[in-house]
Amino acid sequence: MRQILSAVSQYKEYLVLTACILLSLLLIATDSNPQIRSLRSVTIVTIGFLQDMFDVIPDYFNLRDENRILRSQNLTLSEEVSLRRNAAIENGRLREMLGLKEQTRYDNIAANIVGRNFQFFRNTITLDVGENDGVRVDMPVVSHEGLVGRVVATSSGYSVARTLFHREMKTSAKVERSRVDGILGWNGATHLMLTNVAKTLDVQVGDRLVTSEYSSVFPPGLPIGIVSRTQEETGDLFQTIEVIPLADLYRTEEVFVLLYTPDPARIALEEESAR
Amino acid sequence: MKRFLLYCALSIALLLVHLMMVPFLALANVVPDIVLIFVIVLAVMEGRMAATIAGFCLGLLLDLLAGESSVLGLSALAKSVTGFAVGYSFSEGRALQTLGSYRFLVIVGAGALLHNALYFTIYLQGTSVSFVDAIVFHAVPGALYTMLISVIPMFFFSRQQPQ
Repeated sequence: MRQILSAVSQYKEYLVLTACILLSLLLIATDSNPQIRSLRSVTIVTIGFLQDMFDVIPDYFNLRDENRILRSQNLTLSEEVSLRRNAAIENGRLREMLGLKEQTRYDNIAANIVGRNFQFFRNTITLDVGENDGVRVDMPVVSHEGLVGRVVATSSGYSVARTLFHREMKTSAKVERSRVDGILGWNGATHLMLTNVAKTLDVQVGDRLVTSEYSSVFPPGLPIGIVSRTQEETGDLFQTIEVIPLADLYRTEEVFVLLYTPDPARIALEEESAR
Repeated sequence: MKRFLLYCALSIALLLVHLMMVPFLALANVVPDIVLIFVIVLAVMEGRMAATIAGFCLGLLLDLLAGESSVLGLSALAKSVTGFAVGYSFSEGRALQTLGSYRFLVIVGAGALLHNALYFTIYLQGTSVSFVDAIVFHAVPGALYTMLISVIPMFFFSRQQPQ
């Protein structure tokens, strides 16, 4: 017995390390456990509240740039509003002629980003709106520029959204001009990647990407980004397409949560057919 | 006991600072890990055992509080192993000398690299993210930034040394 105690005492540091490693691995294995997820949603409330308090600290370094960008956007938007007004009138007239139904627009809730988490490949933002405001998991988050991400956790007054710069964020996207579909994801670089696009398909630098109707999370037509580079590797069936997101995912401070949830009947059918 | 309570209070304060204030220091999505600096300071001052336990507890709290942006247990694993490894630099009675010299910066740099490499080895399993890209664009800049921030405690400890 004394020998055992002596051995334990001699190697106690190694034993503690082994225990810590085993416990950590056990926790990693249970990361997606529902109980762990609900425990995390409790921490969102606390952290969201604290981050909200720190939100009063202004980002002075970016104010000048932001003002310049806002002035330029203001000018562009004024022109765009005028063009859109004319287009809406024309669109209404044409729809009437064709007997088409008016497309539904999604209601939205304005939200402030009160916290950002930069944890390597899992960038998330904390919003100051939650379940009490009607926010639910999987709702899209957009800025005035384009798609930002989707809600992944909610509490009564706060919610957490994955941005497009998140390793688990994958979405169906479509090239607006040529209607070519692909899967948009992020691999840790400064841009997004559109994958599964055959070399023969027409994608050009400057093309705009929007959400596809194949997406089970996002409504179709939300602007995502601009193709910044295309490359064809020899021996590969697909092309490499780099996309710069339209929304400034690191500096945007105000976003909108679209009150859109995918049709559960469609999801159920797709899941059933996938089995 | 007094020292233990001081470490606990410091840990909580640093955790909150890490979660609330560190995003303001982000440079191109790279942030310093001040909790890791604290674990390394503990390893140099108190040795392997204290640093391993502190690394595990602080990493676990960080994983929990970071919510969706972290994998539960991963920071705990990386920080406890780093605390243990850095604990080899512990030398009775010479802690302040180490902490107040440039040697501390080297220890933090090496510790942060080990931490990030370990973190990514597990974190990138089952993803299409390239391990080399992760090391080059995130682990190394993150370790360098953490090392840069550790200049602050280094100056603090260099002033604590008896003349």
